[in-house]
Amino acid sequence: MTSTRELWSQDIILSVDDLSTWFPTPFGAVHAVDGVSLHLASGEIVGIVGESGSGKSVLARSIMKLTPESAITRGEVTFAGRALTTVSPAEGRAIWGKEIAMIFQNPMTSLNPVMKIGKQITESLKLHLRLNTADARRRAIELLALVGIPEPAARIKAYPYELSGGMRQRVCIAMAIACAPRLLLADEPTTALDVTIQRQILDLLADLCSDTHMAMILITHDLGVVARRTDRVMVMYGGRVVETAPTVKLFVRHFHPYTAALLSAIPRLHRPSHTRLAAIPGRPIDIIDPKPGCRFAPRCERAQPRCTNEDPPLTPASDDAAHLFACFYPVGTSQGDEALRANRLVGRNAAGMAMPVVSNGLAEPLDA
Amino acid sequence: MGRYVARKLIHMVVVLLLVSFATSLMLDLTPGDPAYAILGDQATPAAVKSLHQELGLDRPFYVRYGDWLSNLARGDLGTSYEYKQSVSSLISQALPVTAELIVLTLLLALAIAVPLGVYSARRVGGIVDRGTTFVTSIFVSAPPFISVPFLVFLFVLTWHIFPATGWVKFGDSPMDNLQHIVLPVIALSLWPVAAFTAALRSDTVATLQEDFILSARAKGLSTRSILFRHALRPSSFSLMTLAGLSLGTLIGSAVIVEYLFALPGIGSLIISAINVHDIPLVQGVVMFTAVVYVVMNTAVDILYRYLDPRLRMQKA
Amino acid sequence: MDVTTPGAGIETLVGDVADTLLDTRSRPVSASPSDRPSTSRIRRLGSVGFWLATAWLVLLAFVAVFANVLPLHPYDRFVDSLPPRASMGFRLSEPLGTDASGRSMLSRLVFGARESLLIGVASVGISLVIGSLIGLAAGYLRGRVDEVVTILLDTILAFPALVLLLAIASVGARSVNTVIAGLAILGISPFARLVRSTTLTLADREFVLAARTLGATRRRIMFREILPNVVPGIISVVFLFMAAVIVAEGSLSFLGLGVPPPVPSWGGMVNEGRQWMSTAPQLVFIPAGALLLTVLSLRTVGERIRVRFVGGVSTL
Repeated sequence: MTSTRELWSQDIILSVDDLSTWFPTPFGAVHAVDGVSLHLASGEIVGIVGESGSGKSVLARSIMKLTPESAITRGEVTFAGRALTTVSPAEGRAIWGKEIAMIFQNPMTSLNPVMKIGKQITESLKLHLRLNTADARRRAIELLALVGIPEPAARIKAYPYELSGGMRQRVCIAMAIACAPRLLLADEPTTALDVTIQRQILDLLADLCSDTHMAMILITHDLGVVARRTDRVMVMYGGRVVETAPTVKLFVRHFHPYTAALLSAIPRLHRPSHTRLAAIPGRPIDIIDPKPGCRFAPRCERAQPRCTNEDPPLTPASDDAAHLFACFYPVGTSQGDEALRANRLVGRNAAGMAMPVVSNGLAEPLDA
Repeated sequence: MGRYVARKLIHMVVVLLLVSFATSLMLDLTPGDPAYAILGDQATPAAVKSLHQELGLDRPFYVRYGDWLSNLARGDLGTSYEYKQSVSSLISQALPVTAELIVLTLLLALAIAVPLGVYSARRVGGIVDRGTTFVTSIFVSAPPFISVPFLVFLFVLTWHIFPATGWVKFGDSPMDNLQHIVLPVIALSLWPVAAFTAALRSDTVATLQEDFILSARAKGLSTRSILFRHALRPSSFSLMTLAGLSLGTLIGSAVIVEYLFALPGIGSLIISAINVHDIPLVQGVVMFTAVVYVVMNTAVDILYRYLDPRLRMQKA
Repeated sequence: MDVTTPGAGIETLVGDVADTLLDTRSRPVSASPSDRPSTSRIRRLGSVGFWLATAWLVLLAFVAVFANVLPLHPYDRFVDSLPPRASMGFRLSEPLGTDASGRSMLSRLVFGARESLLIGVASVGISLVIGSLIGLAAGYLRGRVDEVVTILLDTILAFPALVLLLAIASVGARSVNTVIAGLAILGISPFARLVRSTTLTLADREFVLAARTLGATRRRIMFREILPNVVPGIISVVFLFMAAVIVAEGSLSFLGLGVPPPVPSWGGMVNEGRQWMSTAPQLVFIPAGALLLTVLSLRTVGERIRVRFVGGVSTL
């Protein structure tokens, strides 16, 4: 994997600027993605992490223009110099599948059940690369072999229901990389799979990226998944980016309380078994007609009055321009510690969340 | 599966026996003596009596029913009073007309309903959807005795495109044959167009929510190929079932259309048989349509069971 | 539903209704009730359609009930001031002109409406009551009762509906009662099947089990626990069924097997006007239009009620 520092100098293949997507509903607009920016160089792998409802899937679908017709998207998406937000449907179809491909969460449902898998792979080969039937077939067999499907020549005649979940996800990957895209969006590609299969699929994706210099956005709710396979991590909450940093740095040092909470929710081998995993108190917020203020404040042990009525901007750390976070009282800083101590003394945060009272306010830090 | 088929078949046979019994009983209760229908109103009592003997009408009902049933088992449906021909030969002369009418109707209805259903499903509540719903609801509300005069007014009296009535065998002159069958086919296809469109639309709406449609869109496929290559097949299940079942329904529906256009099919046959109290003919035709209808429905039931993708998946 | 025969109507109805009740599929994603202007305008139009349909039905019911009191020319006498086949015009009396033999079109239309509605209400009422009782018993008692009932219902359904209706009409004396009886017999099966299938699903629900544990009698459970829950699904079907029955009655009268003359019926009026199609098409179009509007209105209202009470994708 290339180091991040080198990547900055390389050409940016995808840039997302201040992208917002919201869905009008009878109860108000749901702001699924709220002012997200993201820049990706060729060959770079970025992990987007967040729990369900954090807007990460909608972000990927907004980039692909796969959102429902009722959704409203604002902001700029530029891919290899072309503004994707304004392309015509016909121009878009020449990019989707050819230069940007996507893998979905559930391999059980993302293949057409009544179409042979060979045909599902060859249809984009024929469409985008103008291959004839024989060539497309040959290429499909190569692709199936590439993603590790045994007996690929026989399998192209199989229907999806004849394959296991892991095999189907491999087929989905083969479908996605068929036209050698420059960018792959992988939306929770392993969530529906067994743990052992997860690892194989992730390794396969990482290998494909390094072999073909393909950029990838890997969306997951599991920080463990991104740890070893991404160059950079972006943590999302409530439709916004709360922290982003090179992966190696994030696992060493993090500022946002939500990142801290996510990290402490990863099972660790060095801890004694039966250690209770830290659950994040509260539930993901509703993002219907949100008011100003940090989205995480209602669940944050550090929340102060300022957090509930002012949006924390995404700012770089004082000593590292590549590490950005959006928090007024960051973890590991004196203001942050002071805010936590103050809330612990009164037993609740500024948004009214109850928390255990600690007399001197100095309980063990959250992310011990 | 084998047990299911066996149960269905037994059920079918029982139903058909009951149908035959009900038909015979009903016709037996018909007022009016068929002897007068044959001999005319001025027939002498002696002539009526001898005709009764000749036709076996003097024997009790259950004997006649038993005879009729055992003849039926040998494929003999009796002889028509009116035409003095065997009922089965009358049916086999009329059948090709009705069959052509129904097959063409099904083809036309599918050709119209498939694009309509798929495009309506594309945007639920959109212009195409609402427009289609409006037009098809008029189609289902216009029975043939309403729609045929209207079609005749337009195509025959105003535009002079098609002949109003009559029939030319396909073998005699294919062009004339088609000219005579266009209007009947249009009239008969209004209902299936509406029903097929509705069935396909609701299934396609469900299919379009599936993840694989999203992944097809992510491949950069055009809307048309997503709709027709990815969505249509998984959505056409109820449509195919309905098309199979409607075959039976259309046989009944063809009666009025045939009558109106003077097509010498099964429908015209039964109406004329009823008008002249030709009991063996009525009995034979009713029995024949019921058999076709019941056999068809049973076949579709069994096929449905066999083709159900969920069941197929369980087997795999 | 039925375009073609009364039967098609009734048979499809069963399918329609079964779909409604069995539809556990995801509802169509009505692309979020966003305030897209086109959609809401169309939706408003849809609701205008509903009110127009209701208005037409109310008007029809009113003139049918008060036909004797309204200042109408007797339907079986000639209008002296006008020649036969007088066209529509802005006259104070007889704005719809006269029929083929010079009788008042308006009066015949109104009295025809009375016949249609009378036959519709009576036959639907009879089949509703009998069908519900049979369906309730079969669905709740199951076992032998259910088997026998199912096979008898299938026997009735085995006849193409119009064929059965023609047979009944030719057996009975030509009168309103025969028509009502025939339509009622046809209607029993669909209602019974519908109620049976609903009852089957309800019979295992907690509230029924609770009542049973409390020692409620079978009769009490059937009529106090299950029946009230079956009713909402039936209400909309009653409207759809009325539409099918009016079409069936029209078809029968059209074939000359319905209401005996001189009592007017819409189907009969269409048939009488048919030979004047080229010179006086209004003789056909006026009764045909009235029937079309009535059927469309009944379906619109029934559909609306169904979406309201049962929910789900509106098919047709």
